[in-house]
Amino acid sequence: PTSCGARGNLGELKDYFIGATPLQKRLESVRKQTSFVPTPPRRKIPQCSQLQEDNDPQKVAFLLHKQWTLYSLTPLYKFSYTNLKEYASLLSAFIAAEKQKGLAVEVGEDFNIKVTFSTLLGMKGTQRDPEAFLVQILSKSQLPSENREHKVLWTGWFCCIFGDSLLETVSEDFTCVPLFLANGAETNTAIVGTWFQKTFDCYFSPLAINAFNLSWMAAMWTACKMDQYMAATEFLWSVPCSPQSLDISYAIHPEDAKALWDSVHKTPGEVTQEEVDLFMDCLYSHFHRHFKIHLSATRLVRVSTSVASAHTDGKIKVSLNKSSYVIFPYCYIVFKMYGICIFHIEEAQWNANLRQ
Amino acid sequence: MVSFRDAEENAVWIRIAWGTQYRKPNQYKPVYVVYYSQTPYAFTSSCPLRSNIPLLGQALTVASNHHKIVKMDLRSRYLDSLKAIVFKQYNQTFETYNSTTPLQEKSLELDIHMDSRIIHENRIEKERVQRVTQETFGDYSQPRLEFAQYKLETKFKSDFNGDILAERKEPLRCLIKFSSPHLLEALKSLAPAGIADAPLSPLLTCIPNKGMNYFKIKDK
Repeated sequence: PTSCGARGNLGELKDYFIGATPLQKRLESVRKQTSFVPTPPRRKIPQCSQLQEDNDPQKVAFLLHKQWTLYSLTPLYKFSYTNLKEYASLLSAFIAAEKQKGLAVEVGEDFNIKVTFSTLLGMKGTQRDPEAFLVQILSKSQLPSENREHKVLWTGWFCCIFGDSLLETVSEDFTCVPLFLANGAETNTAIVGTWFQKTFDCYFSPLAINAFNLSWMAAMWTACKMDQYMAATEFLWSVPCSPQSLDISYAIHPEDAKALWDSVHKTPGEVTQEEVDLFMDCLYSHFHRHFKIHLSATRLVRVSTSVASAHTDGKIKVSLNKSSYVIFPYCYIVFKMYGICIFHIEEAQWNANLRQ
Repeated sequence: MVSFRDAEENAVWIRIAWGTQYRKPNQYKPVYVVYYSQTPYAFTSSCPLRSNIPLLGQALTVASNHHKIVKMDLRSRYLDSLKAIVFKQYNQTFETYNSTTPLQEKSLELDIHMDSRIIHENRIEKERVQRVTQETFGDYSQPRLEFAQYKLETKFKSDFNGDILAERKEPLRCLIKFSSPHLLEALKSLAPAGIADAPLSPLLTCIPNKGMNYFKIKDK
């Protein structure tokens, strides 16, 4: 640390950090839960990229139609991609031990469980990003007569997308996979999290998605061109009034939402902050015209479109309509420092294998 | 199977269990109807089998000696509130209080012993909002509803950006749903909290008057 200029006076703390290292600045922003890097005013609507070629469509299909809970994860210490089998058996033993302690009471039957670790190729932003990997807890049937099919009880995956700024700061011993997504019972998420924390000296924290990012997601998902819309574009606001709470749900026909977006959207291939703001302002003003209520004064809690839905509690679900031939192969996670992730779906062509 | 019970004055509670010619009436999924014989109103609980609803309507019409039954766009979990709205009993003030109490003291909650250098900004506007809210909603406690739903098909018109969707002839199709443990009280608190303008839109304030909480709104 630089020589301490702060003499117990909080006012000087700001000066202290001017001289701080990038890592210190990041730690400070994590502590204050602010974004260190200012939001880019424009984001490219991603095009098909080389990453897609590495993609295994079978593996990516598991992402769909499931609700994922997001967590942010600090770098893993001394994690190695060559030890995945070993990690699988260690975690399996840990889970079994926890279950015997009576901590994880799931189903009545005593299932034998199996844990798998596998890499997930293609789920990253640049070549520099570490590979994503998947952890699954599967149940094994006890009865020999039954088909030895494994039922997936819990899935979690770890990834790093566009983590360049992060990768600069950490040393070689660390693996940065800052985004963790879990689907399945919370007790299992807790057990897996505990094991990772013990084994790799890392820390999980739940990732909330704020209204700003939810608006971006809504705009980008509405921007996606679909042949067939299955669901309305829907927003849910929570109104901070007392003593009674009030929820306002605003659903627009997806074709109308797309028409509104097209009218707002000026720059091809890019989505700008102004466009997102204008899109939301149009929705607010249409609502205000009818009800005289300022939605901008309330809290945006959930957005849902034909493509995907996201909740401020850090829950995300990707919905794809199989009958639509323009479907989305890819979840992109744009990572903003340690805490805030934006999840958007990229419009591209599916591999023919997936059209079933 | 139908059973009757006389409840408070003029109210008859009817319990109907539905069966078919092959099955005994299902006692676990009955429909309740509360009929006020002196009025043309009946309140029904939700019917598990949609196909029975017209039959129920017909039976009620005949039994009550009317010639037509019309479903109102009003639904709630609280029978008393529905009664209050339908029979226009909600606007009675039960508390006796001195209505000449100066509005300023009540609404702005300023301690007169507070430092005189602390002032309320926008005092006049705040008082106006308070007055308008009181005129709209009254001082009585509101009947209890949990939601209001609006199906909008109106054209988009923007004040600040004239050319957004200017060429589009079709309206925006929206479905808006307000939900709250006590909707009308929540709506009443919006303008004083600064979240809504005062007066609140008539689309919301008309709910008790019109006895509706499901609306279809189109451009005229």
